[in-house]
Parts: sequence; C-alpha cells; structure tokens
Amino acid sequence: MTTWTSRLPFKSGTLLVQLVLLLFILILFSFLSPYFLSVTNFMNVLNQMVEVGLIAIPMTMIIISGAMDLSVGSILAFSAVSMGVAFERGYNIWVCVIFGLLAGLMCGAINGYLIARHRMQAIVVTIGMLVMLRGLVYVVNEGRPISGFPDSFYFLGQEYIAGIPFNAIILVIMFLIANFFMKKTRFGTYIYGIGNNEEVVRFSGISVIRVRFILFMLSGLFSALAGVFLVSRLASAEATSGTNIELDVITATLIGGTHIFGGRGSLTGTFVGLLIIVFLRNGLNLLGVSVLYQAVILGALLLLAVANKKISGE
Amino acid sequence: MSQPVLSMQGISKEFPGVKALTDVDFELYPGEVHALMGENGAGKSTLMKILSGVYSPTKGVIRLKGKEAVFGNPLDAQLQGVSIIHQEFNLFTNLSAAENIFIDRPEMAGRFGRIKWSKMVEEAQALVDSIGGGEIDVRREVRHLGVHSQQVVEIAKALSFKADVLIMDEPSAALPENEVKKMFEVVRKLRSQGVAIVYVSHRMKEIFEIADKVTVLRDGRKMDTRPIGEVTEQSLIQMMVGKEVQQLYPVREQPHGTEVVLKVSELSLDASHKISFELHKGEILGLFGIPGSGSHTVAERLFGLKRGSGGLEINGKPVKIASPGDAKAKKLAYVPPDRHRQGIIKPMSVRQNISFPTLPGLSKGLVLDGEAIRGVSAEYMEKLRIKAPGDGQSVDFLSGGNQQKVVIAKWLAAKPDILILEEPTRGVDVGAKAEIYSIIHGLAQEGLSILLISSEMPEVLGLSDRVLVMYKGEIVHEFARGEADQEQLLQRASHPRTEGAAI
Repeated sequence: MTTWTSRLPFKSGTLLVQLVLLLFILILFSFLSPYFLSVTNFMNVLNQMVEVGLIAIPMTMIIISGAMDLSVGSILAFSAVSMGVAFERGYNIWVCVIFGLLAGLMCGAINGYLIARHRMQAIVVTIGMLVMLRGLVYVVNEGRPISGFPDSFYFLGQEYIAGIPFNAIILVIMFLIANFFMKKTRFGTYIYGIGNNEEVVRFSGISVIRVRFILFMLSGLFSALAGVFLVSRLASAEATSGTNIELDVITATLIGGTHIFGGRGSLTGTFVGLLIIVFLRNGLNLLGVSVLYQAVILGALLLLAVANKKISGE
Repeated sequence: MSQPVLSMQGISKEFPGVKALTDVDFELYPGEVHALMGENGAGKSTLMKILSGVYSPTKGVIRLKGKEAVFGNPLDAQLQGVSIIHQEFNLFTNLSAAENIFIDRPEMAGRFGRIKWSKMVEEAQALVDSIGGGEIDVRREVRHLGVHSQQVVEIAKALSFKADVLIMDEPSAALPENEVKKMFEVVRKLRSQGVAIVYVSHRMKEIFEIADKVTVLRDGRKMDTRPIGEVTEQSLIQMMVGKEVQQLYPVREQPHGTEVVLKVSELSLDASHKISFELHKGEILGLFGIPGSGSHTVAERLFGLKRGSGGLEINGKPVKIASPGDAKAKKLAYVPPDRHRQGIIKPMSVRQNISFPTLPGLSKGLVLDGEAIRGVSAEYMEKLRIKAPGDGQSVDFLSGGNQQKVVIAKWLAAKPDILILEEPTRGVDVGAKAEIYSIIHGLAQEGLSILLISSEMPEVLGLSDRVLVMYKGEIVHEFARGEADQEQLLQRASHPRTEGAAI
C-alpha cells in the first residue's frame, strides 16, 4: 500500500511523519500555553531529557538487533547509589563516578553473558536483573538518599554553556557518535544483520555472541552514565532513581520508528521520538494536566505510531 | 482387485516458468502399499502436495472412491480421507498424544467449548492400540515419547480422520535403524485394515521389503507402475535416471593439482561415525548421499558450526576450527544449502550482502570504506554475472539464481582456498544452473579447491573430479571422474558397504 508520504521526496516516510508530529506538538502548545515557547522552557526540557536520551541510544541498537533490555532503570539506580556510597566512604568524586560507571558495565556484562553466551531470553534475563538490582539498591544504602556532593560535580547536570545545558550537549554528541557507529562501521551493519537474520550472520563467520555481549555492556555503561547525570542534576542519589525509565526509553524508541522485532530502525528516529515525548510531557505539565492523564495520552500516541506503520504497510 | 480407492488422471502442474508435472496418472487400491520413487526434482513432492490438498493441479482429475474430488486445502483433503505424514512430524510436543490426535475437533467439544476428556482419551487409546502402539499412554505429553511412538501418534491422528489413503513421506528418515522394523509392522497392520498407503522413499531396501507396487517419476512424468515382483533394483534405478546426456557441464581442460589442500582425518560426525578424506588443489570433490547419510554434517563440522573430535590439516598445517569465524580465518568458505535462512539477509542490498563476511578488510580502521565495498561488489557482480538493477538493490527482489550467486560472491570476496558448496543449485532454474556450473568449473580451473555436497546426481557426476559416496555416516565408496553413472552412484548410496560390494 502507498500513502501520501511515500510520494514525497524523502527517503523515510516514517521519519517525516514523526517530524510533522513534533512540529504539531510544538505549535499546539505554543498556542495553548504562554510559557511553552520560551528559551528557558526549551532549555529546561533539554536538560531533563538527558537520562532517557542516553539510555535510548543503546536501547535502539539492542531493539534493532532483535532483543530488549528492561533492566536499564535498575542499573541506573545501582550505579548511582554505588557512586554515592563510595563518595560517603571519602573517595574523590571522579573516582566515584568511574566506580559507578564500572558498576553499570558489570551489570551489562552479566546481562550480556547470560543472553549472548547462554542464549537465554533477553526479556527474561533483564526482568530478573530489574527486580534483583532494585532490591540490591535498597539493601546497599538502606533506602536513604545520598547527597552533599562537591560543586564541581554538579557541573555535569546543572551548568549551561552558551545558554545550552552541558548535559544536553553531551547527549547530542553521544547521539552523533552512535549514529556514525551504526551507519559507518561494520558493527552497525552486524547489528542490522543480526536483527534481520541472525543465522546468516553466524554463517558468515561473524560472532553473534560478541556483538550481543558488546551491546548489553554498552547498555549497562550508558545506564550508569545516565545515573551519574541524574545524580548531578538532582544533587541526590536515591534508591528510587530511574524507576520505570525503561518505559519512556522504549516508548521513545518505538515512536521513533524502530521495529520491535528488530532489523529496522534508526537513532535519528529515536532522537525525534524522544523530543516528541519530552515536549508533549512538558506541554501537558504546563497546562496542568495530571500525570495520570499524561500517561493515557502517551500510551495512545504509541499505539497511533505503531498503527500508522501497520496501516501504511511497512 | 476391486475398484481403486483413488485415481489421479492426467495431472499436470505448472509453476511460473517450470512444468513440475506433465500428464501423470496414478491409481491406488485399498490395502496396498504403493511406493513412489524418483530423483530429487522428479515431481514426487509436487504430486503428493496435490494429493494432500496443498496445491491444486493445473490440469487433471482426482477421483476418490469413484467420485470426482477437489481438495481446497490440507484439512479438506483430510476430511475426505486423504492424510499425509511428513518427514518432519507436525506434533505439538507440549500437548498429550490424545490432544494431538483430536485437536480442534467439534465432536470432542461439549457445551461451552468444554473438552470431553474421557471420550478423547478413550478413543485416542483405541486408535493407537489398533495400530500396535499399545505401550503408548496417550495422556502423556508427546515430548516424552520416542521417535517411533511419535510417528505412531502421527499415524493415529491421520486415521482419526477415517483415512482411506495415507501418504508417508520418507517415514524412515527420522527413525533409528531398529525402529524401522516396528514402523513396518504398523504399515502392515494398516494394510490389512484396508488402508491404501503411498510410501515415498529413496531407500531401495525398504521399498523391496514393504511395497506391493512401485511408481517411478522422472522429470515430472510418470515412467511406469509395476508390481514389485516385476522389478529389480537395476531396472528401478534405470527408470529413475533415464539415459539422457546433458551438456550442462563444462569439460575439464587441465587436470587439477596434486598437493593436498585439505586433509580430514577421523572427523567425528556423531558419537559413532568418523570420516577421513583428502581434497587436492583445484579439485572438485563431490560428496553424495541420500537424506540422512550425514553429508550435511560434514559441512557443518568443517565450517565450525558443530563441534566434535578429529584432525584437520590445511596446506599441511594442522588447524583447529571451533567456529565459523575460525573457518573463515583459515580460508574456508561455505555456501550453505538454504540460502533464505542461511545465505542472504533479504532486506539488505546486494552490496551489503556481498561485503558482509569481509567487512573487516573493507574498513579503514573502524570506518567502512564505501569505495572498497562498492569495488568488491562490482567486481563479483561482474565476475558471476549477477543481474540486478544496481548494487543497492535489496536481494529480496532478485531471482533465485541471482540470490544464489550473491551467496557465492560473498564467499569468493573472502578469497578462500577451500570452498564448500552445499546444494549450490537448489531451487534455481535450468539457465542459472548452467551458469553456476560454469562458475564452479572456472573457479576450480583457477586453483580453488572445492568440496561439492549435493543430492543431485547429475550435478555431482557432471562436475566432480572424484565422488565420495556416503551412507549412514560413512564413506562407502569412491568413484573417479567418469567411472560411475547415476545407477551405480545411487546403488552405492542406498546400501551399507557389505551389500554394495556384493553387487
């Protein structure tokens, strides 16, 4: 079936639809709320989307490869709290950051080992990790928030450079690097290959195990990085950090046109999907719409995005 | 004998570009075991698919018990009394035998969709008992049953539709040797109950043991139907193979080298079977065996897809291959038998598919070298004459022959010393076949050593410098080029070593 979008001089009809949707949201809320269309508000939104955005990078790759990582929120909290606990023991804050990142990397490695090496179901393994790590986080710091980090650390999540939040700049750079990685290196090709036909990749003499392992390590690392940025932005490491963040991440990825069964998708799409959900949330917040209704609207949007693809026959 | 229970008259079936069956007549009487034989591609499976309602014939009439019958789909055929048991069982292994036999049957449902368990179990047990499967408890889940018992369940399922005609497709392929006897007992029991059985098999020995009649197909035409007493193995093979000479195969201009490129010693195929052979430089070594002979496992083992024991030497050096990546590094390449599942990534472009195994060499550092990738794909698209609108075309839209050439191209781009080709012309048309043969021939002339694993006899005989014949996990014979014809090849391939030697 063809739709009107397929006749336009763009390569991807899906991306165009997403951009139109984003524009529609921006225009709609500009009319509805006087506070929406302002530099301050926009920069605020960018500042707040960084954690979801960082995790969406490896999530997009993992979903393209035909798998799923649900443990990202718990890894975020585990890394954040590990970092906080190390800081309380008196280590230098940057040593603690590295410690936090390593904690995330380790969690990712466990996921990767079980899923890639032992061919366990990604969803099952990562649900296990989601539950287990969240429990562990409460055990480690007994549920109390950790704060009192040095000012130099808050630079990551709170400082602005030339009026743009520092963390948003990092996010955009990460997206650009990852996009380059997906499009211009062989690993990107392997990831798309695995998502389309894992068997052919194996029969081509390429280690599917290694690629999958690297992807889950990457997911652990980026979740930890998101944890570091979150602690810096909120000035506190809490056991509840990152709860349900995986739902936002996956929603952004799917609205961005990545196929849930793998093989297709792009980081560009995910970035636009991300902007759609954060600006939608922000606009609804400004209008005073309750969080519960926001969830209803976001869910409906996801259904719409998938339905659009199904109906246009993609 | 009385009226035929089934008669097919003038059956023809055309697919786009191929005539699979031409004017085939086939009659089946109650209480007979009727063997259906023919080479791969002779039209056996097409005929059986028409009979079981998968395809409808382009021309011709099917009469069932004297009345004209039309089968819209497999269930329709089953309800009218024609059931098929495939080589691969169609059972839900997580359900009980009884549930498998009576799945989705209105007569087993009570009010509100409640299942009549006791009735179902009782009738299932009676069915299974009636064909000598008394030791099977139909309440057990199918996955706990042995292969033979699973087959009995399949047969019981077919009988539950009051089957008059039962088609068995290579029924012994899945069974261990000692269970084939038990299967024969079941078949004899069915025969005595008046069921007409079509027995499709490659295995001569079984045909002579169980069949009453045999029909041979060749190139989509029926050659003959004879009582089993009137034929011999030789005459059957002759009917299957025919005498036509084909000019598909290029003539070898220069002899291949003498140095041993690949030396395989005691390579384990499974717990009890090991094989050894040597491949010379520039040689095309054919490996032929009927399904179940283990020729496929040889490829899997050599390419590191399956692990086991045994020694490999490449160019005189012992090597260890534990994964396809190792194999690739040791300059081994493998064109697998199923290109859709193992050979091509369909949504990807011709260029991406051809360069896929060799991307590390086509990168500058981490970054893909687009120019080098285009160069390689252009080189091999030209060399193998791959017809595509451009290298950016998705392989999904290419013809079977061109897809197959893409698979060969992606491995030639890896510059292998040894190329394993398995079923290199499966599902491609005759024109593409001839092209692929000339490609294979040309590669060998250039000094590439080729192991050709194929179940198509003309192909193996036409291309190979030597042919190794496999039977049940062993190499039972070796033919030099021109030494064997198809009859001899098939004879060796369908016998254990001792019997083969006696003939």
